[in-house]
This record gives sequence, structure tokens and C-alpha cells, in this order.
Amino acid sequence: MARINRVFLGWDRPLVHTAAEHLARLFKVPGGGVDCSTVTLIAPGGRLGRQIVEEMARSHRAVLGEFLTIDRFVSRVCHSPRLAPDWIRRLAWVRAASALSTQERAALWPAAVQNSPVQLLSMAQAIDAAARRLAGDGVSFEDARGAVVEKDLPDAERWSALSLLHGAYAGQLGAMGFVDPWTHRVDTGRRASELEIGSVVLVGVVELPGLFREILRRGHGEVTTLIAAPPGREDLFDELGGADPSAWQQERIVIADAAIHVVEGPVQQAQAALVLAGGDNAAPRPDAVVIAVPDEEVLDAIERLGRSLEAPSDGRMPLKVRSAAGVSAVMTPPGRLLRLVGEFLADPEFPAFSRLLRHADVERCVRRAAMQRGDSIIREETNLLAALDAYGADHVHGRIDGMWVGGKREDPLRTSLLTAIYQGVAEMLSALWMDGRPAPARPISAWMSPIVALVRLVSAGSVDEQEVAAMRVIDTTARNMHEGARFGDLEPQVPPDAAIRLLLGELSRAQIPAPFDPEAVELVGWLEAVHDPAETIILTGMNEGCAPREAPADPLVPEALRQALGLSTRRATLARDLCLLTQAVHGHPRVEIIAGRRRVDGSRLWPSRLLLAADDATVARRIGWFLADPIESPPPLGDIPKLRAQGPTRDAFSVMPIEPHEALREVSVTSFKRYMRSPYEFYLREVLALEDVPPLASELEARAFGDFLHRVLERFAGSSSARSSDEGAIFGELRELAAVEAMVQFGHQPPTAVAVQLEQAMYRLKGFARWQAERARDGWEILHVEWKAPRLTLHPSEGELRVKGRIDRIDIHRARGEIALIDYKSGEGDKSAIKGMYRAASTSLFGPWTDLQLPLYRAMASPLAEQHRAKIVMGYVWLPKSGEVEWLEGTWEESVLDQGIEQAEELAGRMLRGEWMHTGNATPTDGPTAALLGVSIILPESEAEGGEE
Amino acid sequence: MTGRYRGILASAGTGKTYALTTQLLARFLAGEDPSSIFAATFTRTAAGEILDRILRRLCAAARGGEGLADLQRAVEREDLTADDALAALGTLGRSLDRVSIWTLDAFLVRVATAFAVEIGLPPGWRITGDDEDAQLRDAAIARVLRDGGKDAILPLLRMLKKSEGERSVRESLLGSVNAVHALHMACGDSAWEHVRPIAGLLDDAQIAAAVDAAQRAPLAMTKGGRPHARWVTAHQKLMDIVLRKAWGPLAENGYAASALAGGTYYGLDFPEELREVLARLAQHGRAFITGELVKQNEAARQLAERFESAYGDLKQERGAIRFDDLPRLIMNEDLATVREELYYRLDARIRHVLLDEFQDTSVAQFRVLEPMLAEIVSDETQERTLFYVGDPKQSLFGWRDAEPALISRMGEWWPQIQTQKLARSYR
Repeated sequence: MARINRVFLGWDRPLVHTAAEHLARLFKVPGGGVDCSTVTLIAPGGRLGRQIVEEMARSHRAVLGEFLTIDRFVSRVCHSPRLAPDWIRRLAWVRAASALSTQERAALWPAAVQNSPVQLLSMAQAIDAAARRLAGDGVSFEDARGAVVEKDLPDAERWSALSLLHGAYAGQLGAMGFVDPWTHRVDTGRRASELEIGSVVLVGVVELPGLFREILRRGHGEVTTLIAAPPGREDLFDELGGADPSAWQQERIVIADAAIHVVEGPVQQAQAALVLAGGDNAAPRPDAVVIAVPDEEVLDAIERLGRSLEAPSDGRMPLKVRSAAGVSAVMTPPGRLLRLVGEFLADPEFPAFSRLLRHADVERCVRRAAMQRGDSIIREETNLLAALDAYGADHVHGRIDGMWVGGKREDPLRTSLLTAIYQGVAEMLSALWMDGRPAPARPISAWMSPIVALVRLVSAGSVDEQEVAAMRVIDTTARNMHEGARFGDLEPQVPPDAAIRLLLGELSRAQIPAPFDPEAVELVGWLEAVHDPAETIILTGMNEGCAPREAPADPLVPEALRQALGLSTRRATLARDLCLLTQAVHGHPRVEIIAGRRRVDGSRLWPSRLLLAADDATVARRIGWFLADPIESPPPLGDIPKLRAQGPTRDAFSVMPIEPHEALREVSVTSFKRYMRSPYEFYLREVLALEDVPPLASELEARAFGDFLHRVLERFAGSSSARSSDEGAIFGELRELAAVEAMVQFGHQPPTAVAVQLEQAMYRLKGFARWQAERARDGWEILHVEWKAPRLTLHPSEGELRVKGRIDRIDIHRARGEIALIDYKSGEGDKSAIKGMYRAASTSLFGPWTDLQLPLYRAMASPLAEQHRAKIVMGYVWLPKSGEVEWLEGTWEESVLDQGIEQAEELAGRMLRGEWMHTGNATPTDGPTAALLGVSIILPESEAEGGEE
Repeated sequence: MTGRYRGILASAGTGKTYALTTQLLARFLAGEDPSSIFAATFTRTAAGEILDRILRRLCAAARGGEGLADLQRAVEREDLTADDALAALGTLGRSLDRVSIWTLDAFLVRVATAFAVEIGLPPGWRITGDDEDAQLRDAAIARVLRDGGKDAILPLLRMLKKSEGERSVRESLLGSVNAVHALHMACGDSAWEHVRPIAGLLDDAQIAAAVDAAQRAPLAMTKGGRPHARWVTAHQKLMDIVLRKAWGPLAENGYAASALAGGTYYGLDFPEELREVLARLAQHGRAFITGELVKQNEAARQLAERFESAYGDLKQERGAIRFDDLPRLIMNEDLATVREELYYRLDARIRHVLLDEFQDTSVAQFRVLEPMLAEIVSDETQERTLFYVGDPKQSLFGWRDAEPALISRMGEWWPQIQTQKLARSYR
């Protein structure tokens, strides 16, 4: 039995100072000096321990023998050279499952999990974590099963299965020469009376897990527990200094109302914290302030606000903040690289490839690879991402396999560049990517070397401290996972993306600290802040659920089972936090407490129960602060921190003005329709030559779909079936042409939507075959396709304007002496378009024609008609999705068509005069042009005022 | 009305939420353990609002005066003092962690967490949002097309032909598959088996014979002894339809339909020979179209099954679960038989249930609640209570399959529930 000595140090000064002073007195040696070399100091967290060690060295010139956290102390006491490492345990749990019957396994995980190595390993991790938690209290699965049976609690079946599983698992480990660390801990606890623990000093430990408690109580040695409470408050603590839940439940904590600030949301909490920390944006004295942030939303807000603070005007250093917790390894550049590679391997399509290239290190790696290959296509000034984006905008590319679509129409230089990029990525991925696809499944351990090689290759040369630390963590974790090779053929086999996912899962538990900054105010967890020796402690997020932290429900070990097993319960957690808040309030000259009323999503927050451990009147008053409308924040917080300006601001939206420009000389047939729709849009597109930047396409937009059909029909005209009247032969030809065109444009494996669109196109082509066969039987022949018409010159009074055009198809009927000017239309609304081209009663400023395509074509094709001594007919071949292809003829009188040419001349005059500021017949209502025009941004006056009527 | 099982049906502004918070206050003031009370609503805002109102009313009552009088009247306790209200507020404040005023979704998440293994949820599962769900659905469609080839594309194309508007193909695909999938999940195979094949389909030779017979058969005559002009037109039109094998128009043709139904055409009876052959042709048209529908439904069923399989696999792989999946998954586990286990794993023995905006409950959600509600209204200890409020005309969650009829039928299913209608609006 250890000798236990409780020492009450008082709570009016920081524990770091009182504990160091006490230790100096306790271990003072005759003749001066302090000898703590035989002492093991145990603190609840690393921060407090380090601060005491520093204080001992600084103020008392003493070096402590050893400083440990509770878990490290238990690990040391329960050490064995044969303890199974994490990954080996994980695999052993999975292997052990094969010893269970189907029914027993069903009590542990869903049947579907059995087929997924990744999910089985995830389940194994959950079971291992449960074993670890229970072992922390000296309880095994078998103990839990016994308690469930004895107390007649539900879940006996599950605990029986777990107990069986544990037996098989221990057997697996034993066969490999390993020992389960959790079983070993439980066993060690049972023979605690045989342990030598030496001289142990606990500092500020108010929560003691069962196993730790057992070792201290029954081991051989001397335990001194230093308690931050005044003598006379022994009632609040147990024999080892742990907070007594029953006693603390009755305790009322006195906090001045003035120290509690109730604000609205996380941003206001962040603002309040920074105002209280720095006041005027200036950095406080180092170590003067520490901010506790138990709420992730508030942490995020403080970090963002901290980066935007304006420096004080008097030249002092600006306030800076640093999160002591650091960032998760998966959020570092090497972690993000692994995630992007994993996503690409899981779904190797163009968007994932494009995202992968956006990782700065990947682009550098691709450039390096090109240089090493002696590939000169990628030069220093070459913008790889711009080329990739431009390709993505021009094509709908599906699966990545090293082949690029577009055929002869694609710019060969760009294709070479993309090929070089692909080669760089393929080399970078090395063993993970083979023959244009993800490598086949291998044992998990076999993936670790290629993955580490990938990270080293891509991150080579990085000097960033956090990145280097992350690479070290990845290296270590992968080495641990490589240990799985010990299982030989029994190790699960997974594809490379799954191996990366598993590695990322392991890495998600590793935190990479931010580089130390002695001038920054530290953001710490609230349990760590309590004993910090800083003069001012700012406790943010003092809301229910954050402090005490709401423990997620544990379906395996619910509260009832915890009670049955005598484990720590929620009451104990509340007692710990009440104790710590009391110690914080007493131990520091200034404690500021901030609580929010809402989360980021607007949902309500309520005060922490720690603030409501008071008399009923105080509870009522504080709850009232959360209900007041408007908010009554006691006391006023003053000005919010000043932020740096976020770049130039614009006072108001303004439409791009018309700039002086050269007069137009040539337009296309379709330009007239665009001008009549919106002269300003015409100006943007045809005078300034502005183009939309198309988003990365996943399917063919209407125009691209129409282009596809046009290309197939153009090729058809040159085929041997062009004169056929056999519907089957025509469709056969079209189907082949479409397949070739699809291969050129979209590759072997187009995206899903495109595959469907290609089938839709076939419906239309089938309908076209029917129509074409009928037309051939009627005596029509194809004369030209994509006929480049001779320029037509218009002569308005302002000068000359040439008009160019290309006619989709021209047919001739020699017997009737007719030629037909044909335009293909594939839009669903195009059936009525021909009727809407001319409106005799139109009141439009521009005239009765809304689209001058056919009158202009007629004028342009007149020489051709004369050459063939034929009359001109014209219209649309409508290719709707129903497949019911129709010939829609425009039948206007000669005089009406002549009127169209007159209207074209009038419009040409407007274009030459530069009349661009008219709203037009159909101003665009969406897209970039609409935005530039202010549509949906600026309301017309009539709608802006009294628009509801 | 002070029964243990009560329902209030009322329009907006009549004080439903006031009534619900009054019930909750009554239980808190009676000293009930907060963890034994479960109140559910539909949005986090509403859940926050209910607790807000409770705390406000207790604060007001603790100050005495009208606030106290109001609470005394509401909970029908004249003996209630300001100190009682203050003490209740203190107790409630110190037990905020055990107050269970949740959204129904949050409750289902807790149940699902407690029974994750039993209901087949993958390890590390989480609730996913609309964006990720749309990605999963896209990926599932891609899998269906990849694995099913043209067989999978054809039914989709058929559906897309019917879809209207200017939506993108991706949106149309997603919309069509979602519609078929939703129907399949709600009704199972019965959705696709509703239309059955009918007899009367003719082969080519029988059609040719019928056409021949129809062309030779006499038409109805005028009094003057000439074939009736309208009959001639209708007959010619019908023959044209049959020769074009346009079975859709044939099924809808009025002339043939009259013959099949034994009726007349323009007031004249069909000559028997003609009636017989036209009836045969009309029946063929119907049988053909019905057969097409059956094939189409079968294709849709297969598509829905393939999609559900691919979508389910993807959700399982990524651990991405929708709120709407939970009731269905939970119902696979019969909670009626494991109520003790439910309370054990939830760390709460629910004795009182209060449901806000009950009209927004879906059938699936109700099925999860039903065993617990049935247990409460059958309680012999006389200590458990059920209270709900809602307005069948005010359902806002139609997009999540809310079924307003449920609230109206509660009294039928459990006659021990007293229902009340509030009419007076306080707005």
C-alpha cells in the first residue's frame, strides 16, 4: 500500500507557483539546493507539467526527476516489450472475427461490413478503443460481460460475442509473440500491490481513472497529491485529490457578474476575446493572457479574426494568436496531397485530375519530372492549370487514361502539353497507377512504401516546419502500418485508394503543432487554461455542451453499464469541471468568461451549467441574459477590434462604358439576331470580343449537342449513303459516324450524362434517317453541306458592312428546278422559331424581322440558284428529342423577304454608327452578360418602387 | 381538459406552442426528471424556441405579478408561488444537459446511434447533406449505366423524353431516377405491378385477317341505303391507324372503342360482323399499350432496384446517411420488442412524450415513434403522458413526406386520447 499524502496549497495563486514552491520546500536538501531527481511528477496535461518543470528550473534551480501525464505514467507502469502496436492489434481483431459464428458477428457489426476490409478495420478500431477505455478503469470485456449478466442489463449477447472475440484476438496476438496492451493493463492493475511506484507527486489531478487510482492506492511507494484548494475544503476531494461528485454537486461557485460576457454568435465571441486580450489591437505582454477555446466554431472565428487585425498606429506589435493544438496532419499539404491522390484513384475522371494538379506541390513535381525527362514542352512560363482549364472548358472529358479527346480539331500543342502533364502525374503516382488505371488490390502493407515515396517525391525540398513535421508523421504511421505484413496471406488486400483512406484515417488522430511564436497569445483547451500562470484567463465558449463537453452517447458502454461497473460517470465530469472553474476563478487576478447565444447556423446556445452552479436568483439572472432582447451584455465590451482593409472597395455597380473603337467591317448572319436581342451584348461579344469562361462541363450544353449532330450530318453528306433512300442503310451509316465522332470528342469512357446524351442523339438520328430516306425518294439530292456562302455587302448610308455565312446544307431537286437552303435545328423550342422570324405587326424598333438568317441566306445563295436555274426554297430541318424529324419551310412572299434585306441594311447602319445602348428585344436574363448588364442586380425603377403592385 | 393523453388540433396563431410549453412547464414544476420527458419538433430553431419560452415564463413567474398569475392559470396550480418558479428555474438550469427538447431528426439520430450495428449502419457513419447526396446519386447512376449498359440507359431515355423544361441532362436524369426510386422505396414491388397484361393481343397474321374482314364488313347505312358519311370517314381513319400499326391512337379511337363497348356510333348500331372485328382490333390496341406499360414498369422497377443497390453501396462505403434513411433503417429493427434496450442505450427512460407540429410527421417517422406512443397510452401506472399539437392544414414538410392525416387519425387508433380543437386566434 502506498503512503498517500494530501496537501492543500490554497487556490488564491496559480497552481504552477504554489506547486513549485511546495516541491522546493519538500525536496530541499541540507546545505541548500533542491533535489527532485527521484520524483515522478504527474499532471493532468502536458502543458501544466511543462510549466511546473520550467518554474522549478527558473525559480528554484531544480530539475525534476520525471514528468508524466496520467496515461504515460500508466503506460510506463504497465510496460512490456511485447506489447502489440496499433496496426497489428487492428488486424488481429479482424482476423479474430473469423473465429466467431455468423450470429456472434452479427451482434458486433452489420453484415455488409464483413465484405469491406476498410470498414472491418474501422470496426476493429472502435472495438480496440472501447477495450482501451475500459482498461483505463481496470475493466476487461469479460468483466463487462459479467456485470451485464449479473445486473440483468440488456446487451448480454453483444458482450458475450465481445468476450469471445477478445479471446480469439488475444490468441492471434499470442501466436505472433505479442501481448494486448489493454489486457496487460487490466492484469497489471490486478496485481498493483506488487508494483513499485516510487515517489509520485500529483499536481492538479482532480479526475483519476480507475486503473490509475488502483495503482496509486495499492502500489508500493509514496504519493503526494498537491491540491489547488485551501485547507478546510477537504470535503470536496477524495483521498487522492479527485473531485468528489456528490460534494461538488452541492457547491455554489461565486463568479462576479461583471466577469461574464454574453454575446451573440461565434464571431462576437471571438471579437470579445480579442478585445479583452488586447484592447487596442496591441500585443499584450508575453504570457500575460491565455484564451481557452472549447468551441470549434469560436476557435475558427478567433483564428480568422486574428489574421485580419490591423496593427496599432503607435508602432507597437499587433496582437497575434496561435492555436496550441495545431492542425490535423490530414490538413497539412502532405495530408491534402494524399486526400487528392486518393480521390483521383477512387474516381479517375477529369475533375479529380484537375483538382490534383491544383496542389502546388504536384504542379512543381510535374515540372520537375518534365525537366528530368528532357521534355521541353513544359517551360517555366507555361501555365499548366490554364491549359488544363481551357481543355476542360472545350471538351467533356470522362475517365483519365492518358488519351486526350478532340482528334484532329484539337490544338496539337495543347495535346502534347496535356500528355506531358499526364506523364508527370503517372510517374509521380508510380506503383499506384498502372497502364492508365489504378493499380489492382494488394495487401495494405505493400502500399505503404509507394505512398511514402509519393509524399517524399512531391514534397521534396520543402522547408516549412509544419510540412516537414507532417511528413515525419506520415512516415512513422506508414511504417507502423507496414507491420501488417507479419500477417502474411491473412492481411486484407485493398486497392490503392482504400490504402490511402486507411492511412488518412490513422493520420486524422495526429496533430501537427503550429510553429512556436513567443509573442502570440495562446489558444488552448479550457482544461489546460485553468492552471496557466497567465494573469488573465479568458474562457470562451462557456455554453452547455462545450463546457462540460457533451460526451457522445456510447452505445456499447451506456451510463447504466458505467454505473454498474463503477466507472466515471457524467456527474464526475461535471464535478471535475466545477472544481477547475473554481480553481481558475480563485487562482488568477483576472478571469473573463464569454458565452454565446447562438451557433453559426443560428441555433440556440444556453449557458454552461458551470455558470449556473449558483443560488436560484443568480441562475434566474444569468438565464435572463440569454433571453434578453436586445442583448444585454454585462458589461459593455467597447469597440470591436479594428480589421485590416480587405482591398479596394467599389461604391456601386456600374455598367461597363462604351469605349471608342474601330468601325465594324464584317459581321456574320447570326450577328443581326444578336444585335436585335441586345445591342449592348452585341457590343460586348462582337466589338470587344468578350467570351464567357465556361465552367468545367460534365455534359454537353445545347450548343455543343447541336454541334455534335451537325458534325455527324456533315460527314453523312459525304458518305456513300447520302443518296440512299433506304432508311436502315442511312441509319447504319449515321450510327457508325456518330460512334466515331463520339470517340474523337469524348473518348472511350464519357461521363454518364454524355453517354445518355449520345443515346438521345441516336433517337434524333434515327428520325433523321426516316426523313432523309423519304426526301431521297421524293427526288432531293444533297448539293452542299456547310456551304461557305459568298460575302454579301450591305450599303447603308454610313458605309459598307460585309456579311458572311455558312449554310448547313443545300439540296437540289433537279426535276422541280428547286434548291433548298437548310438549317438544322435541335432545340425543342425551334419548331415555332420559323413562325416567329417575321411579325408583320411587330412594334419593335428594329423592324418586323426578329431573325434575318433566311432572308440573308436567300440573298447570298442567289448566284447559286441562278447557276442551277432553280428557285430557292428554305427552312429548317427540326431534329427534336422525340425523333419526329420535320421539314419546316419558310414561305414568305418575295416582297417580305426583300423587306428583310432592307432591315439588315438599317441594322448595319446602326452598327456602323455604334448604337449599343439600347435594351433590345430580349435582353439576356442570366449568365455573365446579364450580370454585366445588371439584370437581377439592379431593378428597373418601376419594380424598385411599389413593385409589388 | 387535463387528461393524460391529449391532442390539440388548431390553426396558426391559436396558441399551440403555448399549450405545449405549458404542458412541459407543468411537468417540470411537478418535479419530473427532465430526462424522462421527450419533446420533439421539426427544426432546431423551433426546439430552441420551446426551451426559450419555458425559461422566459419561469423567469416571469419568478418575478411574481402577472407572470406568476399567468403560469398559475396555465398549469392550473393556484398554490404556485414565485419561489416555486424560481426554484424550478434553478433546478432546470442546473439540469440543462438532461432536457430533451430535440428535433425528430435528432431523436432518430440518437436511436440510430444506439442501434447502429443492428440497423446496419457502417462504422463512422454520419448524416450527409444535399450536395454530397446529389454526388452520390450521380455516382450511383454512373454505376448503373456502367454495369447495365444500354439496358439501363433505355428506360432512362424513355423517362427523359417525358421530362420537360430546360433542365440539364444531369438534372433530368437525377430527377427521373429520384422519382422512380422514391416510388420504389415507398411502395416496393407493388408500384410496378399495378398494371397487369390483358388478353387480346393479335399476331401479324391475325391483324391482317382482321383488317381484311373489317374492310369487307358492311358499315351502318343511312335511311337512304347509303353508307353513313361519318361512318365512312371514321372507318377509313381506323383502317389507316391499323395499317400504320399506330397502336396508341388505336387504343384511343372512339369508333373502335364504341364497337368494343357494345355501343353505337352516331346513333347507329354496329352491324354484328363489323362490331366483332372492330372489337378484336380495339382490344388488340389496348392489350398492346398495356403490354408496353407493363414492360416499361418492369424496366423502371429494375432501374430502381439497380439504382438502390448502387446508391446503397456508395452510402455504405462512405458512411453517408440521409436523415430520411433513418426511419426506414430503424424500422427494420423491431423497436417494439427492444424498448427496454432502447431506454438503456439512450440513457433515458422516457415517460412523457410531447410532439410539436405533429402534422409534419412522415409515415416512416411515425412508425418509429408508434411503439413508444402505444406503450405510453397503454400504461397501467397512470403516470405516463402523451401530448401533441398540430394543424393538418399547415403542413410544411410535404417535401419530406409529411403526412398530415396522421394527426387526424390518432384519436381513431387510440380512443383514450382526448382531442381538442382551438379556434381562437391570438394574432
